[in-house]
Amino acid sequence: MNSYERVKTALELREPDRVPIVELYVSPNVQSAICPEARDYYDFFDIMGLDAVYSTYFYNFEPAEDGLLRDEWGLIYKEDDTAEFLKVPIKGPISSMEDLKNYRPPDPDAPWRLFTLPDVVKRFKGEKYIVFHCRDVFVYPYQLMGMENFLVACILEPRLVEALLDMVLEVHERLVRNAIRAGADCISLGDDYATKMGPLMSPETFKKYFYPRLAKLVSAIHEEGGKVIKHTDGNIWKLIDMLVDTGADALGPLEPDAGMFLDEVKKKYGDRVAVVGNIDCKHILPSGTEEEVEKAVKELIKKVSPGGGHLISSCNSIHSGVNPLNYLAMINAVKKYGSYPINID
Amino acid sequence: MSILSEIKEAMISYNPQWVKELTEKALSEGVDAHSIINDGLIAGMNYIGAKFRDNEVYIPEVLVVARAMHAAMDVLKPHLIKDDFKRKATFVIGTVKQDLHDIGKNLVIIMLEGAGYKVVDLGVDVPPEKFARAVEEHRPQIVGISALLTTTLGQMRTTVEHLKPYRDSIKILVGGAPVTQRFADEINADGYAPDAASAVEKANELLGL
Repeated sequence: MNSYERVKTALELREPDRVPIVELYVSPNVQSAICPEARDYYDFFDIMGLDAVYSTYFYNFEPAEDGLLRDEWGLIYKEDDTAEFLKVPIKGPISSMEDLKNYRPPDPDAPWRLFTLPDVVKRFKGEKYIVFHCRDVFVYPYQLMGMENFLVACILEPRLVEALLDMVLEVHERLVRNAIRAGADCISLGDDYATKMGPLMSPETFKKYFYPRLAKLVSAIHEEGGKVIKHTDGNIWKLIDMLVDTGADALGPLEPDAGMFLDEVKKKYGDRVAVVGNIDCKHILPSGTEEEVEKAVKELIKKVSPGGGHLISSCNSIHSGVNPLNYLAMINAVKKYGSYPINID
Repeated sequence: MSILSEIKEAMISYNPQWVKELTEKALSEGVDAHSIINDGLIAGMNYIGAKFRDNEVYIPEVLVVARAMHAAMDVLKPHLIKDDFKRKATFVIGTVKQDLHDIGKNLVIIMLEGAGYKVVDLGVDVPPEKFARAVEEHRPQIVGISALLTTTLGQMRTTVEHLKPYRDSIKILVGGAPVTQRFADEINADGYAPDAASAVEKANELLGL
């Protein structure tokens, strides 16, 4: 079985030859420590035998007033060399229905939008599973209004929120269709809906605004023949029924220290979704020993992998604080313990 | 229903405009500004705060109620200067340098104001020197330091070290997603709170209030 088939089989809730190893992001410093021979970002995935490759969208930045930057959404950023992977905007262009009416969203069909995806497809199609990581219907809406204003509007200005979400949905629906047509096998939807304590909004609010639009996005991806992995940080027990009901093929990576233990998720929902994750990348991968990493992988495989429907990864990403040797230990442990049929006592 | 109960009722039905109008009405009827704050606004805020702590309402509801409170406070401000509304303590708060997140910090501010603290908000991306200057200027009893990113935890440690000369007169409370009690102990903070509601309880405890 090659990597592509391995991931596909797991996403279809069956047992492949081995638990697939996937990772949304592997920091360059970790890559070069483990695998100095890698010449570009994707060499690492190839050489280390990861089963999926992830790429993502690109928006241009232009200089804005006061030495700030503006992206194609009109979001304003501080130049920040310390930001890893995700930049955080400091303000957005929308505060009223009038602003929204005059607003022009970025063109999802712009030739640079799919960024490295075409190259990834050329290099890996049919061999590795190609995942395109994309925002869904929460992060851009709150960034465009500012998070506080947006959350307040969810209560006080439902019409504005509905219209804003529809606008963002339309952009993303086109973007994900384009990505699948360009050769991506799967879309990873990345917006976080919860903190460690629970959802950022009530389940009723989620149901009213976000659930129907997420479901629509998932349907569009399925229509194009792609699969969907829904990621979110935080404790999502109060939202998980709705997330499963969107029709997503997999959930994860999920955060174990927010109470999202994969064995529990799989026990309750494993007949409907695959699970992705979730070796702890806050304590064990940065500061545990290699033996602790191996033990964590072994435990996780024992509890979650039997029967299939499990893709193993960290609980978020291999960020710059992860000890490279621990990540190597994690990959090796999956290869050691992850072959089907799982046989761990 | 008394007008103060009506104000509380308007607060907990997420209607800032109604809260503001009732506050104006109460003042015109000669109700004392302190009573409006304590028995109307803070009563409503506390009710929501408790529901938030128990996961019965969520961040959007708390933000709406805070907006209602601020709208009413704007109406009351001119009357408070006359009356000299006494705050129980001064709390300086900010998000550490290189961290631009503020929603957790702002929730703490909402809860603190609801509990009668005077809050000096330094905003986000606050360097240690700015925390120190604010301590000199505002003479707070307590300083709150917030961080969301795991990568900015180092800044929290630096900020606490930078405030060392003032430790006899201030308590330091830390919080934010990556912060734990263990980390708080390690960097020698006086207290740690996992969420906004318990931040107030912890502050009260540290100050013996």
